[in-house]
Amino acid sequence: MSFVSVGFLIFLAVVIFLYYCVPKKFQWLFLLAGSYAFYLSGGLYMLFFILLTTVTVFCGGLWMQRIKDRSKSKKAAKKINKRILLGEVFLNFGILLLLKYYNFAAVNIGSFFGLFHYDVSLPLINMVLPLGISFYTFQAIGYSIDVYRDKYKAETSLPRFALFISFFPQIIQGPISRYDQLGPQLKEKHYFQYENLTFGLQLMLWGYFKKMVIADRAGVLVSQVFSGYEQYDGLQTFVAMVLYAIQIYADFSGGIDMTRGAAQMMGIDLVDNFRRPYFATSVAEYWRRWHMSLTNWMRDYIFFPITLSKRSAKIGKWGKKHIGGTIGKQLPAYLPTFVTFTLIGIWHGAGWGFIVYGLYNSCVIILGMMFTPVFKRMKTGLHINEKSNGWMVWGILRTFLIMVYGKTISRAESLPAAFSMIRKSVFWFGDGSLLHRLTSMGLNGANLILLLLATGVFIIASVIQEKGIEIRPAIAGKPLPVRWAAYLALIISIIIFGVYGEGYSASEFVYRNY
Amino acid sequence: MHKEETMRDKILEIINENAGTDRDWENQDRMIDDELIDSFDVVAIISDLADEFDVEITVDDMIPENFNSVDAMENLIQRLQEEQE
Repeated sequence: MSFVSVGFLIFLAVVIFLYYCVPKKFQWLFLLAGSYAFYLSGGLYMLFFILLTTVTVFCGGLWMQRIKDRSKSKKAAKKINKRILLGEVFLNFGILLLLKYYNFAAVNIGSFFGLFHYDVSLPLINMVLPLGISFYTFQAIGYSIDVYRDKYKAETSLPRFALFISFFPQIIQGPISRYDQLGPQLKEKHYFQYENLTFGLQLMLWGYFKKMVIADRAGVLVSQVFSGYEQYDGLQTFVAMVLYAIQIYADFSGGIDMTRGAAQMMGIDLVDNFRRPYFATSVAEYWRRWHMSLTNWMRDYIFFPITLSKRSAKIGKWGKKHIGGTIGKQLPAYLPTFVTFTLIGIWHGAGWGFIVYGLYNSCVIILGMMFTPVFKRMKTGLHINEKSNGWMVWGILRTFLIMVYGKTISRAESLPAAFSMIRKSVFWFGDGSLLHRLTSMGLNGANLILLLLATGVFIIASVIQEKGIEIRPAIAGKPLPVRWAAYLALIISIIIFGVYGEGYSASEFVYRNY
Repeated sequence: MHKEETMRDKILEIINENAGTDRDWENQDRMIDDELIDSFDVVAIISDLADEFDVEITVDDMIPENFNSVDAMENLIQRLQEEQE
């Protein structure tokens, strides 16, 4: 069930209404039922996979806890628990890898042998990926690792744990929650609070605005240019690449707003996934602001464990002694950085574009690390004031451009297409008037202006938030006419200017209802 | 007393070397929570702390409470030194 559907809105309204009607001690049970009902709307067979993960990880957690509680030796318990943890990891990531990446691997293995004229054609799996598997698998394994590390005791109730894994607002696109942050909230009794309902609803509205007015509108142009990239000139290509960066951000963050807004209406606070990533002044900072629940997961369960391992310490000592300087010191961080960002790339999907996107990010970050002292000397030599607005703007634009190129690699039809588009986008010559060139990419003048205005609203809101002002409380503090003007403007723009599906035209919707 | 002061000074020196000198690190108590030092800085600081005080800092020690302030880091190192004697 898509969030952008009448069915979902009705489902959500019913769930929230009944949620506050049922006896408080059964609220979590009711949520569990609602979450599974939501999940079933995707197909019965998907239930098998989410149940498998839920049960194996729950049992693994309890088993590890029992061994810890009953063992006299901490070291011995840890050794056994490591095997249990590895078992859970292999099973659940194994399933994810198989379902998500087997076909990609099979096709590429066939191509590889084809280079040597061997005919190797592996059978392909014909199955739709279970809903949210990339998210709930990571969420479950994060829990397992936390229990292994004694961060908290294992959950003793299977239904409660099942709710943590299947909680419906976050099942489609995260955020990837941590058990100590979300678990207790799901168990608590939630009393109706007007502010939760209104702020949650406003956040959802903002999410719909971003998705339907900005993302889906930009998507029309992006789809057209990316699928027929050879026909477009440099400027058109550049515009499409930039709009893709805007589309994906508005789409993903809009979806997260819908998710968090829905959860807030039930008094549940889900972690935020975005912190104005396009205001980052370096690629490393960008990844501390984009899809934060995934990057934090990677940091805590991949990056830190590798960099703090004994082997890493040995590499660090060797580097400091034999290479010295910045590189000698940073050496132990290079490989974990490379692994982390390559995994982040791969997490996005089975395709060379995603793999190269991961490699691209890791190279940019590692090179940035290596050249830190060089950049520092340059800045001193050129008397650049790092704290100045000009330098900050330069950092933002530079980082945005680097990410636009990276995202083009992940979005383009193929790697050659991506490189062709990036190359072409550097020069903005073309035939015909500027107006004609801009309006022949799938969006007419009116839609382009609307997109620009809506994006402008998004940027202004982001600037306000970056300054530390929380928008919903700020608007709530204004006089009634001002508040309602803002809310109605949002609602009306979604209804009139929202893009409803491919091939849709804004004007059509208004007439369809008559 | 003298030994603790030296440890504290050394910790501050390591933080300044890796995370820059433009903050008053001595009076910070939310370095990790407020993201004043990033993951790369943390890793570099840990590496230097481990070398300087001859302790093993593992991923299990990687909780914000152990690195949010100079005091926290000092407590961590003292505990590890006692445990790893």
